Amino acid sequence: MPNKNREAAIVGVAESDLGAVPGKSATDLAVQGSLRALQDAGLRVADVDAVFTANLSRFSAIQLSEALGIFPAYVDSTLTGGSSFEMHLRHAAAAIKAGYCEVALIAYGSAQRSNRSRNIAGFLESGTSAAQYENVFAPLYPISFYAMVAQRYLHEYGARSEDLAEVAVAARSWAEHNPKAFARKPLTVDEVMAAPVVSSPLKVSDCCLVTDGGGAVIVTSRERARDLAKTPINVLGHGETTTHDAMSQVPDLLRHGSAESSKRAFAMAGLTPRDIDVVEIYDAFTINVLVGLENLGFCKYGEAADFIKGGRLRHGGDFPLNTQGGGLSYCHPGMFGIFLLIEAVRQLRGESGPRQVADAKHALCHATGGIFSAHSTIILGVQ
Amino acid sequence: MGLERPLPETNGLADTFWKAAGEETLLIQKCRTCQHHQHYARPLCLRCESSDLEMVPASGTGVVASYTVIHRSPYTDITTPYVLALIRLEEGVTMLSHIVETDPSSITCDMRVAVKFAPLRDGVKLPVFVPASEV
Ligand SMILES: [Zn+2]
Repeated sequence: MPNKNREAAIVGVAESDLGAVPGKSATDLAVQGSLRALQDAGLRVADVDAVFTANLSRFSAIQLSEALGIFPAYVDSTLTGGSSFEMHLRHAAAAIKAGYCEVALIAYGSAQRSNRSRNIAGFLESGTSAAQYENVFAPLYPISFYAMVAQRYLHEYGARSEDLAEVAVAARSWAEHNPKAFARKPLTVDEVMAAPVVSSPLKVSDCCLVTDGGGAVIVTSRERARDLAKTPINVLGHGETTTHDAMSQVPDLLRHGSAESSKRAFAMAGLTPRDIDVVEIYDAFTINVLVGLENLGFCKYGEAADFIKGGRLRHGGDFPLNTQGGGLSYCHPGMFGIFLLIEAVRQLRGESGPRQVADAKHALCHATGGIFSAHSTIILGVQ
Repeated sequence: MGLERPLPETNGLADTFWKAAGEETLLIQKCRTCQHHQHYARPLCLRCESSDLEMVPASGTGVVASYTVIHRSPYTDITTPYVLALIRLEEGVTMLSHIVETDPSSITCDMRVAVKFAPLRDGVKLPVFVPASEV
């Protein structure tokens, strides 16, 4: 038997305040989430020797470490949009295994709703290929890219906008059972279809929320995890990649880096999609779930619209997905990846109350960053 | 917001592309070693890593890989609805552009299109596309 003591386990998770949280900065929310996650783990700030965060400010990890009074032995501010935190978890697992650190804090915070910092053209950064060749064409960023993936999807596979709408309806059905969710009023396919089009075929209700919020995840070695407050959740497999930055550079509109990142994660875990009990896919837009299910191997290419029929993804369905309500209905402060991990851990611990998936042993989290640019897949398991 | 669209940044190899566009020529990059075409121009061939590359005129025709009709404009100098599209040129490269002068509801994926040039401001002309039969 290989020695698993230095493999990683998640021992604490928490959200900060979510929704509309005026009067708090991104770092305030990251600090609040960090303290709650440490309390969840039964650890103190002084136990943390590695800090992972992104997008709080230019020097995010330095800023968070300063705010908490940590002089970390290991630091990582990898910023790949919404997939950053799954990458942080993977990198933390590697660092723990290598013996470079013992207790890693992964944290996030964003005050985008209260700051009104979201712009439909996105953040136009100088010195990129998009600045040279694409921004002049006035794409909405990121929605227009996801819209073009959706358009291609509908064209190539003969799917319908109603299939996209079902994803939003399913997310809402879970959010109805989550007191922390921002949007909890029941939603119907007809209501999604009647919403105004933003960037065709995507309508307002195909798009994630804009909220404030943050959260944190505490990671340590399995050896250390045994002595802590909560059931450790083992990190069984992980994979990551990036494929493009500018819209025109996507290698294929429907076959994404998620196929590669998930293949690595499944191989490492020694599991297949059939072994997964709970699936958390970053749903920045409804199309993400359909192409995600295909690229992650839960169904074949072109079959996701059929795969989700009959309300399978909804609360009480036989394929529990985005069980907190997702970015579509629970919260979306801009980079949703950390919330996938938080919910997956709670499901595997059996803490999800009215949303609890019975006998959940394995969970898969897949996060996307940018415009399907970056992909990170994590497979978690409980003993 | 009171903002006009940003003009393209023309540092490095982008300068050649936009100067040619201003003169109504669509340039793409071709590898002299393996004949591979690519857009945008880079210092290496993405297929064979050769640095022996040249800018060549593109056919200017291609197909709509995908498109989206945008109903909320972030800028004062573009009115809704407008059509953003990924165009795959005959040479196999893909570029982001607009489809213009056509009813958005008549556009489909895989439709054939051809380039034309639309003046923007400050001498910049945008390579945009129209249905191929209308050229
Ligand atoms: Zn070459």
